Amino acid sequence: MGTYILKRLLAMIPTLIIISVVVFILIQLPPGDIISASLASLQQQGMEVSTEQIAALRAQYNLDLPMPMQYLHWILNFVQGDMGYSIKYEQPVNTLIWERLGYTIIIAVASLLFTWVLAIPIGVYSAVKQYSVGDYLFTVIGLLGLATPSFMLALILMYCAYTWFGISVGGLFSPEYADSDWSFARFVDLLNHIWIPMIVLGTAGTASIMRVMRANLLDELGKPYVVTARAKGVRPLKLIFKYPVRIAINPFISTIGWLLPTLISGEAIVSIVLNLPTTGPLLLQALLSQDMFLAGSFLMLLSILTVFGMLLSDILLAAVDPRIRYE
Amino acid sequence: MSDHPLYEDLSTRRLTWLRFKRHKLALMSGGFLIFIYLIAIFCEFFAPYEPNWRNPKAIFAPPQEFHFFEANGNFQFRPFVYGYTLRINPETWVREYTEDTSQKHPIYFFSKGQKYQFWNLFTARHHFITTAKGQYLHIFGTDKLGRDIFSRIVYGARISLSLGLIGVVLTLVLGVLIGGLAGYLGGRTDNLIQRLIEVLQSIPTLPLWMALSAAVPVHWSPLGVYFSIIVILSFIQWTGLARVVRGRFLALREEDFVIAARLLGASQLRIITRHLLPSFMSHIITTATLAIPGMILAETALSFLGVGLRAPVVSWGVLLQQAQNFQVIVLTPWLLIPGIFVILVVIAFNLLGDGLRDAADPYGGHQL
Amino acid sequence: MSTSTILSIRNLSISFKNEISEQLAVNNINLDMKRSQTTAIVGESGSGKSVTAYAMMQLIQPPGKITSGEIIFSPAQQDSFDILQLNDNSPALYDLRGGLMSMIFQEPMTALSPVHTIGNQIMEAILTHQAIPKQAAFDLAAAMLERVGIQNSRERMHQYPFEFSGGMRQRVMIAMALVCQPQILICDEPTTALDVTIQAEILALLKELKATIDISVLFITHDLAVVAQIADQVIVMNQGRILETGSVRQILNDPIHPYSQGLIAAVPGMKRQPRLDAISNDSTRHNYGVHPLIAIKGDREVALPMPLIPAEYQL
Repeated sequence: MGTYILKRLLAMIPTLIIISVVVFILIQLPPGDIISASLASLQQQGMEVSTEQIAALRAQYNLDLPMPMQYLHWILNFVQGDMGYSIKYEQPVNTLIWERLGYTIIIAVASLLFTWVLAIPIGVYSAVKQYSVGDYLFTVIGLLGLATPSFMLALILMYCAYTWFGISVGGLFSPEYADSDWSFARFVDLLNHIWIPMIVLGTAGTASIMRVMRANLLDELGKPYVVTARAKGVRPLKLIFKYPVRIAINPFISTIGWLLPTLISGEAIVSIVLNLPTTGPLLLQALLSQDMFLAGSFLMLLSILTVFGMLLSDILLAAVDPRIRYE
Repeated sequence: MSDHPLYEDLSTRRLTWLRFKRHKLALMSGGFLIFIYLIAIFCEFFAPYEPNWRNPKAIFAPPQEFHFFEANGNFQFRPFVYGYTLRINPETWVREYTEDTSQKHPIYFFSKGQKYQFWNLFTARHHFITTAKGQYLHIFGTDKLGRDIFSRIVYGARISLSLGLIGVVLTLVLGVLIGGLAGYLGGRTDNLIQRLIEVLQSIPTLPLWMALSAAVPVHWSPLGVYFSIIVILSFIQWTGLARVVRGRFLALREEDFVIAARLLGASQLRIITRHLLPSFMSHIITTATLAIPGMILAETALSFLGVGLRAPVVSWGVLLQQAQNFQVIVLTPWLLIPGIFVILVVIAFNLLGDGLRDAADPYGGHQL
Repeated sequence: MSTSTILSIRNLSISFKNEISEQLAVNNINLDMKRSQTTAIVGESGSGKSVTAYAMMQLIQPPGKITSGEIIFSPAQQDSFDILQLNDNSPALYDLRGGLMSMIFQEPMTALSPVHTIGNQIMEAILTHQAIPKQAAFDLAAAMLERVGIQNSRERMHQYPFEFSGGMRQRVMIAMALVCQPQILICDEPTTALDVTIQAEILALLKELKATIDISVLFITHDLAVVAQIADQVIVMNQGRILETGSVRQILNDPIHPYSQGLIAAVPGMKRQPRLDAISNDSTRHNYGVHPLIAIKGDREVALPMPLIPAEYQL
């Protein structure tokens, strides 16, 4: 197991290097850079900026270097934990990014749990009671969840929460807790707010995982080992959970890794609608204003998160499936 | 038992069709999609107004109701709507529209209305549904500029639906080509492609889309933006398909029937066209059908964020951009109607894809 | 009759429905299994032999359906009862499955769960039917593994099926089936998926076990060579019908039914023939499958159309 994890960790390094190149190219893609953009606005306000000043500014952000050198500067600093300076927010990227990333992870993990807790029992039920009324009902709800754009779902839920419970649910905290230190009351306040993004993000995932679970389980139910267990006299409920469910769940463990990028993607858009202090809204702003250090750091960190998520799911899979463990 | 044609006597295609026909929902979805694509193709005819035409008398106006009975209870066969009276609420400054029973706007089908350029080919005036000159009809209400939502949905269908279709074709070409290549050549190429796919998949999709579409120059023409969005969406989506195709390719290469064909001396081309492709096709068609709604939803999301299609292009995502916050739902809920169409189309594609998958699976018989 | 009947099937019909047609997999069959003997059902794929065995433990699942008939089981020291009358949830059914009757399958590769240890799966069979401590169940399972010829059984209990070879897995299956001392063992083509040498080993093991345990065996196979080695009674099935029953000697040396004759002629080495004939399915379906009559002589039965019935048989 130890060597397996080590091998996987080593294999991640080239992947991460290629990702960093792709991310760097991505943030360089928009024509012009933030200096020219902010210059244009300065000049519109009637300010004179000398060519020396521009050159000095460019040199300060290494924008005068050739591309490969810019990349090297950026990635070497990044590895050392220096993510550069956000020109738009006039703050080091480090101070802007960590708290938001933390909330993104909290929301993503909460949604993941929500998805699993809901989707797997429903999937099992739908497979075992195939073509029953409940099966059809869940299929319909699942389809609706799959088909509704997440921002619409967020809006509708906000509306429902507002009209039925009279609470406004934007943000992650009530105003009085927004800037206070961590306390139990603040934590409760967080719980009061986090359920909407959790449901919104979890719904699409629930819908698809439920359907996959149903299909997987239906496949497994026909396997000979199920007949063997039935022939042994194992009671139906125990049989289903001990054998086919156990095996049908395995592929899901490997999907944790793939679910994370989806959740982070979904989180971006939901956060914008719900006005959450997570990575999504800031990333969008950074991309639109070509704040390359900020955008690059976000993309890079989210990708690293995903790569680790995949590693985690592979390790989990190896832990539950002896066939992989012994390979 | 001998009254029925024996199961094994039927051709694969006929069997597939028989199984598909049993999926009533898939069949209905197929019908619905054909219907809505027809509307998208002939949207100039089906929409009563041009998408950017403004009705100054109706800004943020709610949907009008169809009536068959006049206020005094007289029935008339031709449906009609009432015009609006506008009152601005002095306390909240909100526009409040009420039906003005003195203004009756009868609805005409297949008659002349606003002039339009059909497919940029010729000028026409006939609309599927319209009112007399000077009168107006807003089935789904209007937006902040007084534009007719129904007409905009109909025009938006052309953009959103074609985008899904073209995007999927592009995805398919990329995915099948690259995935097939990886599966066919194997070895180093396969490794390289695998790694590339892994990298692309580990960057969260939406931020990647956002980054890519933020790179589309602002000054590009709407058509340029339209195609670049398609390219961007396909650029990400092909990876999933390529993985599947590669996997199937590798698995199929080892299948006994393929080995048998090879041992019988069948040529490479014959093996690919007679054995590999048919075993693939059903799978690919299904995957494609299930990928279209993903494209449509992605366009909606990008346009909603303002990094997708931009006005004056009308797509369902652009329409939903007006529904940014939840005051919209409270004050002007009809701005969310385009979302209902998104949901319906996505569900229909999913059901159709499910039906196709079940029908194409030669081993799926036990479920039926 | 010298021995009593442990299980008798009367008028059993099983049908499978698909979207186009309904097929009778088992068509109104009658058969008797004698206590402490090995009864073999011989037939080609699709003849209904496995489906019959599955019906005996109520293991048939939709789209398959038992449309009529009864299966009377008379276990030792118990009243006889009709298995098909047992409710889906009745405790008696679960006692029957794996307790009074157990089954080994054709594919030892897939018949065991890949993610549970061998020990876990054998112990489950014990713990389902007996209220004994886990440690006792473990000892019992390990002893049973030794019994079927698996060495180091205590270590091997902790291994997974994929660490065993095909023959070993079949031994595990046999151990699992016998560990609760059932009265009937159903072997559904237990050697078909194995190499010829392994087949011989497994058959030898089954014979040896049969000699030491008092058990009635229903052996399903398409291989007459296997039948010759192991069976006491033979039932020939085709197209969901029983064509002929009799002792192994009678069937192998003196088959009456043309289908049985063809079946025996098709086995190389059993009767010398210059060329193997294919047994025509059409002829079975149309000539002697349609309106057969049952003819009996002693304990032999054969189903044939009127003109083909030998003179010494009674209808």
